[in-house]
Amino acid sequence: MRVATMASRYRSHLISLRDGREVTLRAIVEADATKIVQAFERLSAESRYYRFMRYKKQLDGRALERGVHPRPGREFAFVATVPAAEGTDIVGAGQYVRAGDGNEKTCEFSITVAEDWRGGGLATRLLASLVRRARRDGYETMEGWVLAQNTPMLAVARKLHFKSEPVSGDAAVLRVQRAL
Amino acid sequence: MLTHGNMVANVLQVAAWVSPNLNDGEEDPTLTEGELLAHCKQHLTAYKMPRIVEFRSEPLPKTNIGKILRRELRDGSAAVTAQAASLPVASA
Repeated sequence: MRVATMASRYRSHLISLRDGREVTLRAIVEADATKIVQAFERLSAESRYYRFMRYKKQLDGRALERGVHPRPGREFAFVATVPAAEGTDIVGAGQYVRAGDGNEKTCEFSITVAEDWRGGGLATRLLASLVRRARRDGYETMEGWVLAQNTPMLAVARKLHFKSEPVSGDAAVLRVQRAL
Repeated sequence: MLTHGNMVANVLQVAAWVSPNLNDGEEDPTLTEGELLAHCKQHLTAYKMPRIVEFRSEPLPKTNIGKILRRELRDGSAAVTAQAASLPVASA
């Protein structure tokens, strides 16, 4: 399958977090769909709100389908996994897609890290990996929409040289962006 | 239902969205303004009560990665807007 071939070009590797724990970082594959749903179900309402900017009880099936089939050269998604009783658990994910502003050179990112896996720098590693990958895909700008109260994500973005700016008409959200 | 409030220049903005987007199975398309306000009255203190209730039939505007864009919600004018009776209009 083409998707699997493209995904396999990103070599899965183990990374160490600041708290000493290790996670495997790899490209998302179709078979991750079930694990993504399980990871979503473990997220708190607040974490879901931060990611989707709405209270979400379940993942949208079509969005999930799109998420596990990133279009090569245009979209990419990383997952961070750890060994679990039944295979592996997904404890973090980061993805980018082409932004909706009509500019083909801008992509939009999102990052999600399981509550139990925060504080070790995983979000930073995920975003840094997205930046490198998006650059390879030919994007020139990366942007993200972050709730103003989501200070941990804003700190991660700032560390990776994103600038944040207010969003006209919505004081609750900031747009972070950087050149790639 | 989704609520969110924030203080901007001494204006309290509160918005609640209900959309009959059955794909998610999250919303109730039969909900009425009266029911919504009654529910709010039961659970919220007076100053948190929504000033405006607006029903939309189209899906909520999202970025390509799936985040809701409230600025577009606010800019949109396709929906029917109903003001909650006897409440002063603030901002939505």
